[in-house]
Amino acid sequence: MMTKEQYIESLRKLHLNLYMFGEKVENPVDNEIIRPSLNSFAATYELAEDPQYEDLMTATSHISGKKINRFTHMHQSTDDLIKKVKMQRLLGQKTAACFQRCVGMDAMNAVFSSTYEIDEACGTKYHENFVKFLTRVQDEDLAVDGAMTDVKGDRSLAPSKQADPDLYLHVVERTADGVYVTGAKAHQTGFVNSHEVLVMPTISMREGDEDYAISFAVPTDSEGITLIYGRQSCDTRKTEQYNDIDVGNKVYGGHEVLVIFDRVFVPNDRIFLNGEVKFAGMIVERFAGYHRQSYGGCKVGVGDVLIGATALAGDMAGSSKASHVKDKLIEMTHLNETLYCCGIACSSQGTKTKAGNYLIDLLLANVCKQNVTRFPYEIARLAQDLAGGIMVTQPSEADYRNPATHDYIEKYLKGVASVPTEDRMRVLRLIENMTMGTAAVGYLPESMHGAGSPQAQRIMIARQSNLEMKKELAKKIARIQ
Amino acid sequence: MLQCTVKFCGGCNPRYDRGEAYRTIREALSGTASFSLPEDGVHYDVLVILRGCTGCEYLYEDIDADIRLVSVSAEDVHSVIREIQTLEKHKKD
Repeated sequence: MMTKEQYIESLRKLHLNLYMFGEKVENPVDNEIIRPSLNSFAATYELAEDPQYEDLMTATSHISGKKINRFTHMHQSTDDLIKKVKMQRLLGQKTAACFQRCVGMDAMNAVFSSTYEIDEACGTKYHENFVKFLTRVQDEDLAVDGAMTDVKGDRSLAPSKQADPDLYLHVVERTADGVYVTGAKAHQTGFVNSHEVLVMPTISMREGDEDYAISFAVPTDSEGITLIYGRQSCDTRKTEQYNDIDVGNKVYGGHEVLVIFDRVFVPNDRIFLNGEVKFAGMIVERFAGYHRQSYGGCKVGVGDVLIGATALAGDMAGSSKASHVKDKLIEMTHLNETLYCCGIACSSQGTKTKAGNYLIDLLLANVCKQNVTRFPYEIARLAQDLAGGIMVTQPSEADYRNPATHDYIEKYLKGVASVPTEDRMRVLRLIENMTMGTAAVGYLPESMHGAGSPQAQRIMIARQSNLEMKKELAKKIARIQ
Repeated sequence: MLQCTVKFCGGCNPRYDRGEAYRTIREALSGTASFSLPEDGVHYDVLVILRGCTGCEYLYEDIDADIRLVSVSAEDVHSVIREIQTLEKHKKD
């Protein structure tokens, strides 16, 4: 496995074509806007080295028998699925941000099982290709971005019917050695911190969409790939002279980028689906299922930090003994643990695929994510309720450091006498960061839309709900023939 | 001196500081027991399992040890210390 330091050094060797705020970024690793997201990603390497966490952070490869980072593991049991959720909660607790490596793990597990079944049906060799790729990922402990979401253009039209054919990523040329692809993937979490990108189709496809039914992996700095960094609310606070208190979370963060593929070459041995339209949906469904399980871990860990920050804000303001404060903290905990219940439940009911890795219970995973589209918003609302208006009206760190205003702020933002005013400001800024600042991107809209927007889960819940059986149950009890 | 090893659960939601617990155990037993992280092919007198909660019941059967002592709370840490002291005393007797 790579150490945290080796991982960071490995990123310096990438030649990403990355743009942010109208300029090309030559050194993403040391960029003050991007670095917090790298620190979060690096935590997945750092914790794997620590004996206190290795039981969750590492696993035994079913290919090599070696100890590997769990983020590169193919789940071999329901126990592995449960440990995955626990690992994600742990990392959410340590970073209070999106640590970005889940999407690659979920993509790899989905493509691993799907390629096996595609080969079985079509006589292709995609699984062999994928296992070769996976072996390298495990041996070298690589970071993999899982790329699913196309920009989609007109949602009422199929990929091949769009006015601009590039609105879904597709094959533009086929050669004896491979294919060239063009298109774009939106919302790519952690791409800048990844060595490889694993591309999957974004929706189920039908006849006529063959060029769009494509899955493959290429290095993130492949020729033809351009990245445009997504901005986050309050992001430029990181570039201010005083960029400690006001950023809320100085060390950790997350990021998303828009990834453009402009005639990117994919060699044959890196292709995992190529025109078999009826299997595009299988990859989508499995990836979405795994990723909806993931949110029952990572968001819970972030929620743990937010609940802790809210409780601290109460302690610092002297309000922690008020019954409504206690009750709201209980409600936040109840909501957070309910998400965790869903993550654990869909894992415990997992089943073995034909390829040998384990798949979560899809109904329960979709129920998990459906709750994630709601509960973090309520947890955030309660956090803002208990933090009070001072969370968003307190003066800047620059004013706190200015001798002309420092003493006034020190005096009038004081809560409980024994608590330093600066500590109170820090906790309030952390709550601001998580509920409306840079980290809110990961905790709120990502909870809404990541791994599929709410309606996508409702469609899956409807498909899996077994309504006819429920009708039969009711008929029997009601004595209806 | 007893040869002891320690295994931590993954620590997803610990109810106490497992790292601090390990330090407490090592300090209380310095001169009584030696501690190291588990290695393949090594036999230990005692395996101390520091679980953060009651949730995971792994006994880590792959680690070769005569006795397994489990802690699931800060209070258990003192029981672990006492048990190892007793084992060392019996070994001497």
